Amino acid sequence: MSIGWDPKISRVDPTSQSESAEPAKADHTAPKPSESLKAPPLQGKPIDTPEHAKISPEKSDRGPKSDALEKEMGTLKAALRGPKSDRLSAAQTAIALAFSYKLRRNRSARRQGLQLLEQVGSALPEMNEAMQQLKSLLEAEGLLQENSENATLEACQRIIELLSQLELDSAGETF
Amino acid sequence: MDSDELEGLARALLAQGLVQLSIHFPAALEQLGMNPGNALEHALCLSEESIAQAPNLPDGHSALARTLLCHHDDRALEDAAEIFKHALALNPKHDPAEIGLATIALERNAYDEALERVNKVLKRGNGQAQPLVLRALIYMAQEQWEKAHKDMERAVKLAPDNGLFRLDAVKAAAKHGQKNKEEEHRRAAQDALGEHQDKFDTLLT
Repeated sequence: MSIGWDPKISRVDPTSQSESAEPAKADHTAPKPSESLKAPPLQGKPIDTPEHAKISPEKSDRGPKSDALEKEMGTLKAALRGPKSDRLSAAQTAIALAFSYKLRRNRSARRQGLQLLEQVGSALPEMNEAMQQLKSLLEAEGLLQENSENATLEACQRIIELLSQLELDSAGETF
Repeated sequence: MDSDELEGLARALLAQGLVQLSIHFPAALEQLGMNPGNALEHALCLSEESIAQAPNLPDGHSALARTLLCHHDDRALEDAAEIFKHALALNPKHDPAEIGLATIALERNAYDEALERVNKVLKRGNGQAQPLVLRALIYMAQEQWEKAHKDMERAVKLAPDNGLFRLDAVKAAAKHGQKNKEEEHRRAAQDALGEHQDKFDTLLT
């Protein structure tokens, strides 16, 4: 199956295909250190907020505040500090929650999911490796959502590495 | 979550990443040993593998449909719509599927439907640039330049290095009479797109 380009949808001129397959010749000039680096903040003075962090959603764009989710997270965190049988069951629920789209939708939700996985790894060290793999994948998804060249590339590289690792793991189980 | 679901999600996200690189940053694909043509072939295979491994995960379906959106014909658009709907049936709040359906609605000039779908995503707190750009494109299609400009300003703050988004911001600012913003976005687009910029000039008309 060959895939063509629909410029109306993909917004890429078809003529760019062959050219972009060639080595990148983009005229990137690195900014001079004096332009790209700022002096460290003075003690007692507030640190500048990065431009992109200043954007707050419109009122209507804020996700619904979920008391139920907060409560569930609290219960899970408490259970992860409890006896081993409680920890195991809480870990399963926590992993399912962190994996759910609800906790992958945006940066703040993802942060909660990653914290939860961190706690699962601490509560059950035998699950730590699996938690690291899932964390790595969720972090890569966060990079994809930034929609920048470097972040997208890094996300792809991380996922390729993770998939190689998962394939190695499953080959190890087979033999 | 089992290992198949983990691998399934990984393949779906890689497919999404390859499509994103192909459309927005094609030169970067070289670092993965790919070009836009074979990256989309990979994305197609990866999303199909994802569906085979984790059929109940909406991500694989959305990734497959998103890849189909890069295809040329109406049939691909219809197939993509069906697959996005299936993803929504698996999870009615899966933003990539809703955004995909909004994109298709815009392509079919169904502005009300497109707006309704994209607003759903924004109200859920999606927090990414993509739905804002899409809503701006819907407003642009309706010649509502002030609203389009406002959404594009928010979008480029979320994704400042995306050259194509900057071009949309140029158009919205120009049509809304914001000369300074227009120039600012034009310069940023030139920085981001480099030698490829002239290929996208038609998007500004």
